[in-house]
Amino acid sequence: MERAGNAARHLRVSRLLASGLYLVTDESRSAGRSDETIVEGACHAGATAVQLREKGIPRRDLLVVAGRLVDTCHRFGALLIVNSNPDIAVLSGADGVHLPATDIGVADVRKFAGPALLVGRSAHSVEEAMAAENEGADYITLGTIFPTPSKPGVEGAGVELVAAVTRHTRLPIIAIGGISTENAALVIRAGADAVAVVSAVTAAEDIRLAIRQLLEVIKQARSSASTRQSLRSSKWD
Amino acid sequence: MDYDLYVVIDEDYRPGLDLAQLTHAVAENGASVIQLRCKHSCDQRFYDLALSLRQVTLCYRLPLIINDRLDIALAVDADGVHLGQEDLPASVARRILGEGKIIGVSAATPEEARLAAEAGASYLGVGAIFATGTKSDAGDPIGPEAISAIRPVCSLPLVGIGGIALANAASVIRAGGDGVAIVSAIMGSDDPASATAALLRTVKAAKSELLVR
Repeated sequence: MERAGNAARHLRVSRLLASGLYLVTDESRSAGRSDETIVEGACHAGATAVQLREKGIPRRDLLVVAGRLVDTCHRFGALLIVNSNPDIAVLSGADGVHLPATDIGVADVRKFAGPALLVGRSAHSVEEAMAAENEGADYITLGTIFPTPSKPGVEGAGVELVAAVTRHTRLPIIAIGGISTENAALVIRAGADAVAVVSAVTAAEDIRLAIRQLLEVIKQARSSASTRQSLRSSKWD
Repeated sequence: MDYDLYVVIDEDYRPGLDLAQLTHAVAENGASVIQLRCKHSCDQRFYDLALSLRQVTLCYRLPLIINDRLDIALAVDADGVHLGQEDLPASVARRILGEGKIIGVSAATPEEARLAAEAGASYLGVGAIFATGTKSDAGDPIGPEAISAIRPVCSLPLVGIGGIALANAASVIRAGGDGVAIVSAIMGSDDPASATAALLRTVKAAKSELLVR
């Protein structure tokens, strides 16, 4: 049972990273469109991983939104990850939960979430990335890579952070912070397994076009990336 | 289970207070239930506090209830959760908590009480009975008569909450309450241990008066 759960989780990790793009929702920066509209458009255009991140709405409402997004994502074969709120992740049938650095521990989540739920962790340094690996996280989001309006006053750490983390952990890295078609290739070449985008997609006039362009950039960057990169990802194949 | 004196430990009430020590003091002086409420700090802080209060409540064999967060309740193996009207529905919460855990639900009207009972609540928190400064979203006070209105249609334990202190605790019991939930009258007191003991005496006295009658 446990082993089957672990296998299911490893399969989810490879699906999570398959397209190299990880969309994070933010209704306040979606030009008046709902998360559901954004996610539907994104999945239609080929997004394979979505994180629901909505702060400041009642948890009862968050459960409803999560349930709807799970349906939408699963209809397209994409994964839905819930930010924080591991209980809502489990109850909504989501594929995973993403824990901010200051949230409860991975082991505590596994106690009640079972072995199949993906558990991601935010990291901002080599130390935090190593800590996430030690506590059994399935992946990390690593940021802030470039300055972004969602983290005002935070300077970007640059792609050097990605390169540094790849030298110290084998955890899959999803780079986050100010990533767009302009700089996604740099991040992938530095060793990221995927890039997370928020406003580059949610604020785009044409969601589907934005997704397609990002996917194309990632695909090209991946094919020109080093062999070390493919070695890294091979453990999930 | 006994709900006579339900003490809410509110992390935001007095920043810097040693909450484990406070919990010791109230547990030693007769609290029946401890709830941890942590609205504004990060989840890790909430979890750490829950864990430290868990140690205390285990020593005194008191139930520990976690406000709102099922994941934290499960992570520290608390006895249950308390869910407000904007939190997860009790019926859904039951799915991951299992049958053994306590689920409290906030209710202000007979209709909310009926729905909560249907959804599988273990007890109801009825309030805000009196005006309170500790909960910004509590709404206008509904008075002890709200408990009298719910009592005939609901067999669950009813715990009054909101602005309850030594002077008005008995009125909540007389209206049909099974207990009182206290925040300020204990957390805001210079002597939480004595405040707890005095409140418990008041509740017990009001209950025995009802029995005699």
